[in-house]
Amino acid sequence: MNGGRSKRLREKSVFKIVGIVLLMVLVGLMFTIVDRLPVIGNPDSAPNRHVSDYYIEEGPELTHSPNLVTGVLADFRGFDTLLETTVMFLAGVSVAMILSNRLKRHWDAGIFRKDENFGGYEVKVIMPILIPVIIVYAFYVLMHGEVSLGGGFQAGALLAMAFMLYIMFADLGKNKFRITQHFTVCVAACGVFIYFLTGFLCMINGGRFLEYEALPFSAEHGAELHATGILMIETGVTIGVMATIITILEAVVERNSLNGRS
Amino acid sequence: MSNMIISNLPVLVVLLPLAGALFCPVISYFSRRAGRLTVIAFAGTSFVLSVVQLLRITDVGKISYHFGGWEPPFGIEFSLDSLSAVLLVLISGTGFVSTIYSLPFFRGKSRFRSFGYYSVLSLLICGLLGMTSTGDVFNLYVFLEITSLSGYALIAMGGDKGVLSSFRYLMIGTIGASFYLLGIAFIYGETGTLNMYDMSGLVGPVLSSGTTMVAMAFFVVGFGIKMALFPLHGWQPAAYTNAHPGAAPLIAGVMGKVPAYAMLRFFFYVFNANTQYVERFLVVVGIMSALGMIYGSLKAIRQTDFRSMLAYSSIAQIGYVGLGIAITGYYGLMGAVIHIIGHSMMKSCLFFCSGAIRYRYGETAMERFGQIYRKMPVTCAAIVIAALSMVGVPPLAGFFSKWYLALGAANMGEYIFIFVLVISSLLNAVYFFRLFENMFMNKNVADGSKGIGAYLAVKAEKKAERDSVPFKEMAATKEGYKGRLEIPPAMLFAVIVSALGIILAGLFNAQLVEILGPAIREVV
Repeated sequence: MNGGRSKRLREKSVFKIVGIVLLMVLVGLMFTIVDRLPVIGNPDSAPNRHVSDYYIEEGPELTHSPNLVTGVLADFRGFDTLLETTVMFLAGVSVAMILSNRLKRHWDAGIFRKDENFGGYEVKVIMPILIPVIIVYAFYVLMHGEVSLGGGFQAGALLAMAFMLYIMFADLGKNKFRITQHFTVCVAACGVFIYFLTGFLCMINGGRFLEYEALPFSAEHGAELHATGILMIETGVTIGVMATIITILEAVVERNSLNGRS
Repeated sequence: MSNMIISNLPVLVVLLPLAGALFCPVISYFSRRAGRLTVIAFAGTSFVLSVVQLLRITDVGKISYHFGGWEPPFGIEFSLDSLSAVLLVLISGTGFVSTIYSLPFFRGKSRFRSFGYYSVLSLLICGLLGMTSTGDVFNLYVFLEITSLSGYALIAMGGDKGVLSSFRYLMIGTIGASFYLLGIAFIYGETGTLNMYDMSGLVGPVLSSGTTMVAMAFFVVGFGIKMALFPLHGWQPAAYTNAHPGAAPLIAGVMGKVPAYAMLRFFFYVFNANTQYVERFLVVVGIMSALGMIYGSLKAIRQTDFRSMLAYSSIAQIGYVGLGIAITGYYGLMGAVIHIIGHSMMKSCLFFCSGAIRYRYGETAMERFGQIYRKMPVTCAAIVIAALSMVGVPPLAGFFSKWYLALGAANMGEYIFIFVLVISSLLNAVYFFRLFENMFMNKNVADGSKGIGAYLAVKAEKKAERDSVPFKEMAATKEGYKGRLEIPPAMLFAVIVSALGIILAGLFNAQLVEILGPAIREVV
């Protein structure tokens, strides 16, 4: 019995050594080709000649977005972004499912405030001023999304941060947010659905999925519809990301408060 | 309206399950049952549309769908030929049946569990469908991400052990996905495009460069991890064994096959497999697969748990697909594709049955299956059909893939592969006949009394002990199933449909080959 166990241990350590050696070989392989990768900024390298040229030369005009990154992210490859938003939603649902084994528990911010002096007066005075500013800035990032770098993901993160700060510092005895994880997951689903709907409207109106020029709104130029479409999907992304972050946070806090009690 | 549906078929097939996943939480707020039925309805619609799409592709040939109206190398493309259309029908069909099959597990479960499971299951279907239909390498990665994440969640929902095996899978699977992403980055650095068709045109001159070779090595490792090819299979047995019983058929049956299909796409449709550089990698894949076929079968013989036997058997069976890819040639590829289709059906059917037995008796250990055919005749008949098909008995689906693989290996003069194929099939027969022995001949169960009925009396005594276990997922088994049929009708439907699928895929094999033929002939 004892001999068998030590033999098994020895086998395991052999596997470990083999694994480490193989890993080293793969890492070595990666290093051998580092100098063969295209140089950054080299106009003759393959990535800069083929697709990128088209994006740079035609992109701003075709997508009506002065920002190249937004044009590629939300328009040329908008379908990828829909799926990335779905990944966020999926992560939120999964974390909530795995971490929660009980229901109908609400935010218990008490774990943040075990220490009476948590935050202190300065923070408690500053936060009511800061939180509205954060929310306003989040809307600015969202609305400015199709013009400048940025957009839905950042705006969603900012809104979620405002929510978190409010929960941590506000006097919850008086005005309690009664938000369940189910509710936040529903909000996240609505956010992703806004994105999905943008694509679907284009389809119903005779275009392809996410072909913004087929959106059923009136506009002088087709290009203006691109801006509308990008704004719509960014709104969806914002809501989805915000709700997902709150879901994950709520699941983690719920789990912690359960651990504390049991 | 119908015109809109026809012209947007590819995107509707993939995104309807996504829409179902988004509606489910909101509708579950009002009615749990309606939430579940929404997902089933959307998955069913997707299945119907995928059949329509297959018929259309056999009529008009390939379909290419440009997202946002951008031309392919600049936008994202779904490109569908008869090969991917057949697999789409398979995936959406298995997904649809799985959603129905899962219903009894959630009777009386909390609103939160019910909608969470169904949303994630629906997203898994969406991810698998997307990986099959996409024609863009980065889009494939995003769908791979959706597939993996929902897979992790569904495995973790299988209870305490599920969480642990899911965590292992998460670690290894993330490494696999990173390898694939790095591979994309390298290949993009060489060709400057992400579109598969465009890349196949541009990759020719750079095929011999070191960067491309490393990218190909990374693709082999990345897809190898995701499909659990032999030395990279570490996560697979525990994950398949401990997955939620409702999702296990889809996870074990389809989730491992789609990366195999993606590997086939890469080697034959993006890179030209007939050049010497790619052939070297195919040799490696072939050796890995051949070793896996022997190793998986040997390990499967040692298992006592039905589910883990099936999981190890999957390692062997994915080897058949890898072998077909390595053999190349028309027959080799045909064997690989038919094995992807056939084995998906067989493994889903076996996992449907194992979940059904577990639902009724809470048992998965094979030595406890004594005389079970008296209590569950239909389920046992389905197990027999699927197992015979796995062994390779002629009129069933499993025979034809082995036939094509052997034919391909003989054509290419790779007789060692035929030898491995025969050995592995014999080992298959060993462990499945051991299962039959337990089911039909074993009169004794572990405690010395007779048959599973007597065993249940002993089990009832242990019930209180089990009830105290937290995280008990299987509420139904605690009460014991009381119904007129052997298992709930939703489960019986899934078992019968999957068994019928195996028989039909065998009987109409000639038609299947005829449909797949043009897509495969194009690359050999």
